Amino acid sequence: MKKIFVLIAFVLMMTSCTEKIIIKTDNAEPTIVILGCLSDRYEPFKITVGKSVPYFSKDKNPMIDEAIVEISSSNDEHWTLQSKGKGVYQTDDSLHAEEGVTYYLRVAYDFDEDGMSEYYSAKTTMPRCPTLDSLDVKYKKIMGQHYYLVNPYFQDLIGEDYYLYNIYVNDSLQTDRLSERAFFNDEMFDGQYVFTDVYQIPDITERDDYKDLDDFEDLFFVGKGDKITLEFGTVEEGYYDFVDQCQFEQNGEDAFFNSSPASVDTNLDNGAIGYFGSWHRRMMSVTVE
Amino acid sequence: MIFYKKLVTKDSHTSYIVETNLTNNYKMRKLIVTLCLLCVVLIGRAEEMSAWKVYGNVYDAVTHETLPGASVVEKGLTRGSITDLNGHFELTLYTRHATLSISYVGYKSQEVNVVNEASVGYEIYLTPTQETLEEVTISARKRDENVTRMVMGVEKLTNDEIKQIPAMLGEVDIVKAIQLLPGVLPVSEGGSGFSVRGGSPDQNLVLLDHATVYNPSHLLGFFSTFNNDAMSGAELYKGDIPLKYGGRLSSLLDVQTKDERADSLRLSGGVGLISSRLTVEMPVTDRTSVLLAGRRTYLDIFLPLNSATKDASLYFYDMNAKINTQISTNNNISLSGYYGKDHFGQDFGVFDYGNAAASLAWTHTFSDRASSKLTATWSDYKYSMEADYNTKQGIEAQIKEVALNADMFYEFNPDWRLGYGASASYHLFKPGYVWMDDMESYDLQDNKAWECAAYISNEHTLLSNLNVRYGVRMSSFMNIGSAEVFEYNNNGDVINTKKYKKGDVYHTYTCFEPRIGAVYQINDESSVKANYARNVQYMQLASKSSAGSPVDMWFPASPLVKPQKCDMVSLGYYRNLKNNMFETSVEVYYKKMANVIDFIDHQQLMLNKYLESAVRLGKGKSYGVELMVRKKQGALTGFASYTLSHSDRTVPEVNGGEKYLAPFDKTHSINISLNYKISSKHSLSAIWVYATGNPTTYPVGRFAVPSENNQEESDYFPIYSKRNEYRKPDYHRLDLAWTYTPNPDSNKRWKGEWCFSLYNAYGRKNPWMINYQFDDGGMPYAEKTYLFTFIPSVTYNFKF
Repeated sequence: MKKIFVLIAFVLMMTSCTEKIIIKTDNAEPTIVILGCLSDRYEPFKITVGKSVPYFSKDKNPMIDEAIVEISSSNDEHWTLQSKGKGVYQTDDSLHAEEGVTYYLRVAYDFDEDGMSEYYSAKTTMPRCPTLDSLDVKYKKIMGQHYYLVNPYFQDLIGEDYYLYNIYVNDSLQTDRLSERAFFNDEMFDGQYVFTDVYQIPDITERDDYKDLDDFEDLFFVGKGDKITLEFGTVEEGYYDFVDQCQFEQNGEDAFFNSSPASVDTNLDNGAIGYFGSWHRRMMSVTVE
Repeated sequence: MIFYKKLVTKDSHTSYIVETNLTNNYKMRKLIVTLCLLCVVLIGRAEEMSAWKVYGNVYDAVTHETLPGASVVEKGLTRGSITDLNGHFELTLYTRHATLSISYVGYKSQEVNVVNEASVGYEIYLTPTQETLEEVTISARKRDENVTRMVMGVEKLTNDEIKQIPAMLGEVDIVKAIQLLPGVLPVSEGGSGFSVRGGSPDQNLVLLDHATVYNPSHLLGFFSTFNNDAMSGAELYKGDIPLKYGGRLSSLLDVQTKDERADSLRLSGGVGLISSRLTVEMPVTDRTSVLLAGRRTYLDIFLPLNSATKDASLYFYDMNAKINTQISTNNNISLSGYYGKDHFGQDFGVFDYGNAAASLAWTHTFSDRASSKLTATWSDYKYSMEADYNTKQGIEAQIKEVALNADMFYEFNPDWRLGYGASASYHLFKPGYVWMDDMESYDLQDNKAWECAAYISNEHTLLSNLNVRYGVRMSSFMNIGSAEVFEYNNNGDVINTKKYKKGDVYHTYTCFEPRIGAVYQINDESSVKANYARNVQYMQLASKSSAGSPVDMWFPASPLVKPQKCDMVSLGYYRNLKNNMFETSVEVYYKKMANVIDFIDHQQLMLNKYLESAVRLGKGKSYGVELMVRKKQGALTGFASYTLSHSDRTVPEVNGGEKYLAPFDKTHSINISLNYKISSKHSLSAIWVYATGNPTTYPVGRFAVPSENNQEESDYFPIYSKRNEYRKPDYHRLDLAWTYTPNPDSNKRWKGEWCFSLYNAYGRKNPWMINYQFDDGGMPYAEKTYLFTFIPSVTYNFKF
């Protein structure tokens, strides 16, 4: 439905222009940034730890390799994650998070360099997830361009559910950035059988039509014979909000929907930012015919 | 499928409790009954008075348009009156015979002998000194009105004054003209929303012939709903709102459709770059006349130029109609209607929105001292979206209002005038309905409410140079079932739901709104005015938009959302110079607001079933000084104004509970509007506006989220400053217009003029939005979007 606003945006484009602007702001004090999302898939638990920098800094955000990172669970399990460099900490073994189990994250690091470690913690509980019954692809013309619409079929469970999903094309993850991840919740169809498109992928035969777009390099296309995989699952409301807020606030104000941008919320304590969540996933593939 | 995030707050620390207040409801009803009885008693008393009243209307002899602001004075005495917006006057006389002198700048004065023999209204036609548009328009107001008028903080613009102001794309616009007045600021470039003395756009009551217009904009706010050809003018009350009106905190914008009495068929209109318009005025009988007006855009023709929009449709149109009939000398009825629609269409769906409004007014004169006006109004705003690119689906939302107003006027003597009345409005809020083929619909609960009010207003001349006006308005807002009322815990989760049956009054607010003002006239050329007013607002927009969005919907006061209140004091000094050629004024004001609305961060307000969990109530204040110089006569006319102001808010859980600048706070604002009449054929006009940049929130840090495919690549997300801690660059702009009238002295009925205008003449790139993008290396930079640089236009206007 938001595509209606694409047309509205076109009206503005007829008379609007953009240009770079230098804005002067005070720089915020650096903050520790902790990110991690456990999964029900067998893989090492992974956490990244880094620092925030001034927004317009030309340097990449520094990562922290000297922290102590531990995860425990409500089943009395305990893991110490090993630093792998570049701010990445992970378990040596492949593990999987279990539905209904709560996981606790604890990070220790002397961030203020006073010789004493500061401690940062958060928790997440692995949510339930409905089963995907099937997946199909429909071909549709929208605003002059053709798209393949990815349609999962599943029975939504009664109660609040927060869905988050990725798209793979020929087994290659396309939505590998947080800003590309898609999501929705079941407020409007709680407990109903759901069958609708959750992603629109442009037709590769019309690829040249997109060449002038600034984000052309970030786009992906599909054509006949391509395998599309939907990695589809549920997250906690808080992690869903984190992803939603990151995308909503990433580009600043929106004259129609967001005149007051604000920093994203976190579930970490002691002034840290980022999020520690868990993601219960299903995967299903379909070949475009 | 339409997916919307469930909007339950995480950080709420307020515990809400539902309570009903039937006691207040009872008191409210009792007071309304008392005031109605008082009306009856006073009307009865009016019949016993011995002095008599002469009344009538003043018209332009050529166009037969009413002349607001004309002076009607009893010859040989200082006793007099001024015609109102409808050109109507009333004057109490104490001798059987009298001579009235009627004058109006730009017109030949007339004297009329009147006799107290029959209750007859006088119709007086003044002849323009020159039959050109410009001569009439420049000074269409009482010469010393600036000094003598009883109210303060009021700005009046006539249709012809508005025409002289350069307009974007040639679309003459009442709201854009209003935005040039001191204390009034546009909320965004080119938008129809305006902020009055630091208030938000939804704190302005916008009336068209007494009917509320809920979204007075077309094309996402770039044009207002008012077709200037069909309007006689507008008055803006910046806080000192007449007691018969209420329901908004900041201002009243009262727009009136022309009150014509055409003696033959007349056509007027214009052909512009993006739209054309036509107004038809014609008599039906000697006592009845009709006005019909319409306009439509033709932006559609540009859409096929782009492949993405070649299947699109895009337009807006609106229509005005008014029928006015004088049933008898004591009774006048007018019926006015408006309908407008915006349409955006694509191959996969459409988006429509629009207002409808109608009013029926009956004016009755009981006697030479008592009159009444009964008005019934109906207002409707709705939007709908429909899409069909996989499953068929749609959204609809709407707000409706039906209202009845009774206003009485009684004059005890020339030094004591009384107004009183009552009103009742029924509001229906339909915040959203979502339907999808083969799935259950999603329907947000309707809200229903009664808003009732009664008022009494006195105007006293205490001394020959001291007038006071005082009164009180009592208003009441009643939430009506059927309804489900939610209670929330600290996290914003619903912990309890109370259900009410259809027709149940489940909550009532009652508020007293005293207003008092005084004018002390120092001499003929200067005066001092002071004023105190309390305004109350029971409904507001769920909006996080800076430009005004058509999908912003109104929501009512409720057990959780208390009514907004504002107390304002203002003081002004007014001085006319050189025989009223120049008007000057200085006004200072201070506003203190309670229960002002804001929303916690990140919340999506559209289609939010739990909207109230995102609402926070706080306090605010605004203060400022407004300076104005206006030149009313001569070849060069216009005004210059300067406003120095401040407005802030303190709302729990917004900005960490700390005080922050209101979104429309602008420290400095300068507006200059000039019109120079070179000859009867040519005139030039220009406006220059300057304002301090809007408060805004900038990013002060960023954090990185590495890509899952490549740890070396990251997405960057902003860490923002405190709310509105910074300001955007200052805003300024120059607009120019040249009006060419080929044959100004022609006796032909067809009269035409060309208007060439240039919007933003020196191409200032004022930021409309500031966003953050990423360069080729993935690093963020700021980018501004600016609209409308060097927009030329040509419009041909005609009259027949």
